[in-house]
Amino acid sequence: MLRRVLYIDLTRGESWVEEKDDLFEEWLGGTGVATQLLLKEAPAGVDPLSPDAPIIFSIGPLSTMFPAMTKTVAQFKSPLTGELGECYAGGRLAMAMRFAGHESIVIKGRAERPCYISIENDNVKIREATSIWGIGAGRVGVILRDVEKGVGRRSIIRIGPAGERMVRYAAVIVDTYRHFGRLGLGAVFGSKNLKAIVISGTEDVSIPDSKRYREVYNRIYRMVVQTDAMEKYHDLGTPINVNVLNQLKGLPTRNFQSSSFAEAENISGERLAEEYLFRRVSCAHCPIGCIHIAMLKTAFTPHHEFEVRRVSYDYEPIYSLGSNLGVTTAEGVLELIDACERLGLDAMSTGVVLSWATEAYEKDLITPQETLGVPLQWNNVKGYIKAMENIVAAPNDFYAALARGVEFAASRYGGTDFAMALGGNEVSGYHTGPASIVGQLVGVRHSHLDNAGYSIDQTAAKKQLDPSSMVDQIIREDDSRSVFNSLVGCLFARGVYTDENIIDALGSVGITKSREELTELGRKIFLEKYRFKSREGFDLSKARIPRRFFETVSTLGRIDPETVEKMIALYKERRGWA
Amino acid sequence: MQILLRSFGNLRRIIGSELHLEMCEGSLLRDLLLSLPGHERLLDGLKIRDDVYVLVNGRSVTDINTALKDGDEIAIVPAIIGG
Ligand code: SF4
Repeated sequence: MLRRVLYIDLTRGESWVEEKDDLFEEWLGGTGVATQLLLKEAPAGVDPLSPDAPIIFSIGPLSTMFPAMTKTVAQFKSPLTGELGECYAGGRLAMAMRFAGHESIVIKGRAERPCYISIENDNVKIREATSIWGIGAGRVGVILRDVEKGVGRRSIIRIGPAGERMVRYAAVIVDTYRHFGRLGLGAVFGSKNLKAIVISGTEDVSIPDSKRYREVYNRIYRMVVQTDAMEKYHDLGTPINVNVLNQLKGLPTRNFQSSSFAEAENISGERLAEEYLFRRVSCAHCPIGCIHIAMLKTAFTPHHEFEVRRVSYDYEPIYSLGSNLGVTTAEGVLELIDACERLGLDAMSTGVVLSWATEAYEKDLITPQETLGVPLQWNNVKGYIKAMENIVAAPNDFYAALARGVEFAASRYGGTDFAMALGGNEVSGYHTGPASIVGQLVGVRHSHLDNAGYSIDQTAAKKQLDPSSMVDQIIREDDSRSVFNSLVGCLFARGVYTDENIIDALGSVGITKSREELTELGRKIFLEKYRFKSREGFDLSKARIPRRFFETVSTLGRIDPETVEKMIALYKERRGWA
Repeated sequence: MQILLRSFGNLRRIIGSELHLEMCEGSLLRDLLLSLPGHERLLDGLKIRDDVYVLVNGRSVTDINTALKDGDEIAIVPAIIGG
């Protein structure tokens, strides 16, 4: 198997390939390898938006060779949090990197003028992008599809205006409907004058024992398509959570002022599927098709033709731009998701920034002069779209502060008690209980996906779980996900990829690992990420928990701050940090 | 007695979104659950399945022998899904 790293230096306009068998041997691939590359390539204390700050992409040893092994991990120093930046995207990127023969790509430097990178196997061209700078991400995709080669085997990733203007939570749009959304990779692209990357290739992958590979492949494929392990993701998809969390009193509403929303049904997965869903699509090499696309029909102008937009939706944007902003209609939510897509903003951070701003405006911490007359009011969709455009254009100090995230904005204007960030990252849509808070706080990228604390809370809604066993579960998830994310599989498929199936799948492509080795590797990767976090200044003891979490009833009732403190202390003790 | 039952997610297709049920005095939650179409999606033997939540008047209930009373509102909810 090819285990190569492609290096691209935008300042010098050079690229080269290095074979790194030892690196992949020790760290498997994906996030394990990316973390080592980041530790090596990012100088300690580097400004995340400087030319010296690297961008790393990695796939894993099973990428595109097994069902749902579809993701690519991106690592960088986050301009939002100032420490580990990590996010994942599906689409066709992992497949295109596999075809191009690179398991990792490292991008450094800064181009003198706007550019995009075209990669075809080992052939790397840094091309002029002045003519597409300033253009929305969707349109740029269409233009590059026309001028670049590699149809069917390529991936196109690019930023919108938010990335160009270095909004700290700008996203990178991957192919169609997928994103490197979180922690500001789009701003890092913008800082490098990098508008897009097109990647394709024609490399083969050699399999040592094709009979064994086929046998393991078929078994896993059957589990994916013939059991109910993944069906729910295809059916209603994650928007099923809107009604579920609303019933369980865990649906963040109007900036977490409430955990249930009277209009939840209007923006629920059930309603969207009945009235707006027009198709489902898949990442390359996934038979599930969980990407739900809605048709949003709006009038160009009153009494004139209609425009139909296709908007992909899932639970997190519906929470952040829907219930969390008090938006009562599915059209309103889809309009806001579409505006994020057009501007290239991360939907989750954007929603949380706007919900804080709305409450701050209500409480007179912000004046109409500062909002430039934009009415920041719950459910005011037009006002929110204007505010998003202003976040990108940054016409005054207020919007420039919003563009730096909720933590920064609240440090300037007040309202930190209801500035809903953990570890500097705007929070996910689960007000389920203490495990969700602690999980996001201690997680390497301060995401619900680090250890799925919400799921631990959900279990606790049925059977008694003490803080100690919750902490043990968080640690187990932190570590086991470090292995799964080194394979860079879709987390929706983690029920299929049991330890046994992972060991068999790796064995079938010539990589021998025991259960014990994988467990130890997961722990090591997690600690390496913390090495980067600590080096860049993250200190768990100083991390802020917004008071709002303790004021609003959750799935598990009112959350006691002492329970959360106790869990953090236990976590530190069990990690050996106490 | 009158019971209002709501279901959510993919359970809706089997159970229906909202049912007004007339039950005999003294009925238990198990009587109600066993009377529903597709009750095997809800129960694992005589236990509520791990991936199903039953809320009686907004509170999660795990004991299927819970007694029902007139005017109770019951929600049947699938588990949260995600990464
Ligand atoms: S389940 Fe969905 S997100 Fe995951 S690989 Fe398949 S299509 Fe992509």
